[in-house]
Amino acid sequence: MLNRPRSRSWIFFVLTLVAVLALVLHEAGQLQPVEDLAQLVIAPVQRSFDGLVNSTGDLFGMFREVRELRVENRDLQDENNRLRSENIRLKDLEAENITLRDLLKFSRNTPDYVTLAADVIGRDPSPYLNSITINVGDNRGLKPGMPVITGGSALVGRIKEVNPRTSKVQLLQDVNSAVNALIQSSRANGLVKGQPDGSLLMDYIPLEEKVATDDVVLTSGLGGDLPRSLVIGQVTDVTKRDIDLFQSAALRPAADLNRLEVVLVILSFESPTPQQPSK
Amino acid sequence: MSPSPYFTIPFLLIVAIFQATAAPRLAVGSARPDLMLLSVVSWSLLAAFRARELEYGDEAPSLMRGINDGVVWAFVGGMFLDLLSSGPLGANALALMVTALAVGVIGVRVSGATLVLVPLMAALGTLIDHLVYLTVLALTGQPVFLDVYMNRFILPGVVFNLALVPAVYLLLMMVDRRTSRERLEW
Repeated sequence: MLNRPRSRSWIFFVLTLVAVLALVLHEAGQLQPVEDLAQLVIAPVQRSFDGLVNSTGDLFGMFREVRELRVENRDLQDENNRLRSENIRLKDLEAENITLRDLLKFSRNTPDYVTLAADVIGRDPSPYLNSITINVGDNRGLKPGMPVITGGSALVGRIKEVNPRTSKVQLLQDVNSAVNALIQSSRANGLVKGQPDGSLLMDYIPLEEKVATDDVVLTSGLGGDLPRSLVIGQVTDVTKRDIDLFQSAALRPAADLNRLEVVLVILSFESPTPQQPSK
Repeated sequence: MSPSPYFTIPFLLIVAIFQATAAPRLAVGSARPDLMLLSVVSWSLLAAFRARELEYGDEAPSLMRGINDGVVWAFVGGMFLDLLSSGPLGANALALMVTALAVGVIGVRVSGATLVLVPLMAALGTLIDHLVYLTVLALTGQPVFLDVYMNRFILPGVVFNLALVPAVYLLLMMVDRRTSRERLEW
């Protein structure tokens, strides 16, 4: 065993000699064919190895890219969610803006009326009572019986109960609601009443009056508790029998009474004065 | 024994506000979810079952107390609903109290599988609640159209409540167990 290193001690010297010789021959240009031959063998291996290294490098890069894409994706999703909720909010504001603009137009067109905008904050928990709760009450001068409208001068109902900071509005569709009305085209009078199924019916229309589908029904102002010409709805069906004293008409309300969000309370208006007989 | 009023009152107030805000928007056709009624029915049954267990355990007879638990919930919840309604004050409270009394009496007397008894009491409770409420409305001068209301609100309401009662009952059962454990630990 001890002899082995000694017996091979010449290897170092021989290899050194070969290296020096190769160096000299290379410098003299005598090794070029050998070098070319070696390159011929090594090059494909080198290329393959290089490809392997590159693909491994790409793999690591891919992992990094996936991580970055995940972060980017999460950020974009967050952004998307934010924009979506903002979009919903803006659509909501746009709808509210349209309603408020309608209400403002009504206020401008009727300078004699004193009006107050209110938010709808609740509906009656009982399905048998059609009423809404609004966020203004006695503190803003509301009184029972005051008319409540929404966009397009559409009548919603009347104040039924006033509390210090809230009020309950009886909707047109409530079975206890009754409003003096007239048909816009024929000026025929009648009484619009809420029905138990939530629809509206204009009753007590004289038989001789002409009533047609799509006729617009307005408040008549009779009785002085409501202003004239507020829109109640449109005729959808007419019931007329010769044996009856009156005819009746089913109405489609002008306002969507199930989706009210902002309303206008008419605090005061000029009630129609009775016409003096001409002398 | 009822859970603390610190739980009962806010819980019933939240349920009442839900009934006056979200419930009408969640209506399917004309039927609305009635979480207040379901809470009262579920709590009345839980209180009745508890009372029956105590009686069988030879402890002080507590059937009446078991029934009263549900009635107290009915009164508090009903008054909250009445405050949010344009109807006569006390109408919802009265209707729910009669419902709680009926459910409580049946709950302490009739033994049966909870799986059957709970939906059965939800359906019966819905009928009693609506009919008592309509009676009160009629007595206070409101027009009542029973045939229309039966098809439009009462029967669809029974179906709606049957679908929702398991969730409400399980929730209140967890509350009941938690408060019972607290009492034992005390």
